[in-house]
Amino acid sequence: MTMEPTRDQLADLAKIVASTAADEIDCETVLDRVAAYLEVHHSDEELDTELDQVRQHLAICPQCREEFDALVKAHGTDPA
Amino acid sequence: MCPEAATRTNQQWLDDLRSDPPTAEAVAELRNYLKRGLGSAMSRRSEVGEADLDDFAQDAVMRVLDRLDSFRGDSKFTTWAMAVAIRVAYSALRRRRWGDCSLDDLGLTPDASNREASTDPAATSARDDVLTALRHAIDRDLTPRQRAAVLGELAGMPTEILAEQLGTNSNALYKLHHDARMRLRGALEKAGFSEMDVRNTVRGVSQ
Repeated sequence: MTMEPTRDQLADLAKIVASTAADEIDCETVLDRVAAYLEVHHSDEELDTELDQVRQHLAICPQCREEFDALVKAHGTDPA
Repeated sequence: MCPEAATRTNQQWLDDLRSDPPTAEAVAELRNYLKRGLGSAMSRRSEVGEADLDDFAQDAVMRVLDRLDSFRGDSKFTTWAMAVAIRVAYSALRRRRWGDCSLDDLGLTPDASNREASTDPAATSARDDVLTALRHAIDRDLTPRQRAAVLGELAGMPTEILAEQLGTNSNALYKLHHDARMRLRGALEKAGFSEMDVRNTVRGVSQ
């Protein structure tokens, strides 16, 4: 039996496809930058290019998003 | 008296952990700090017990020591180390949850011939048009490996396991998936759907 994506899964993929950027960073690179992103993302401070790439990656990578949410809890920072 | 985890500076952490051997007090403080943070992060996961937290924290300390040269100094060391610990713990949990599940189990063997998605005669809305176009593009415009990467991730298969199944590593898999997404984006644009059309579609389906 071949996996057939559900409409909800296709909609999730559509959102990710729409958010895809030409110059993305991978999960390994995010691991080294996400701490810096966590420490500034609540502020009004404009993100520099590297941290904006982290923001974009978290918008399209479910695993890194899950880990970021866990980092927020571990860090004791209230989510936005 | 040795500084507590919360009061050590980044440089103190690096100096103590880079010494040969790493300072026992620093290693113990780091392990305890990471275990506490992991406990907070995973407090609602009933499948994670005290022994798991001990194992995750210990593995995380080893990973942090291996990656010390990757710390850029643009955050607190403890925040960076916690991010590494969460990666270690969540990777282990995902692998535990997925066990021996393979692409074959999902019908996603990369060398399988593409199957044309069926057209739903009742699909008349703009939202359905976008999703149908996307489904067709997956079968028509992606290579078998790209299709397996996209559908495998949609099925929730963890990156590490999906990479192993495809005979590659996580970073190469990310590039494969990125290339697939760029193709899908191009296919949707060619079919006349703008980024706004797609975003509006997602909003509509998720309501």
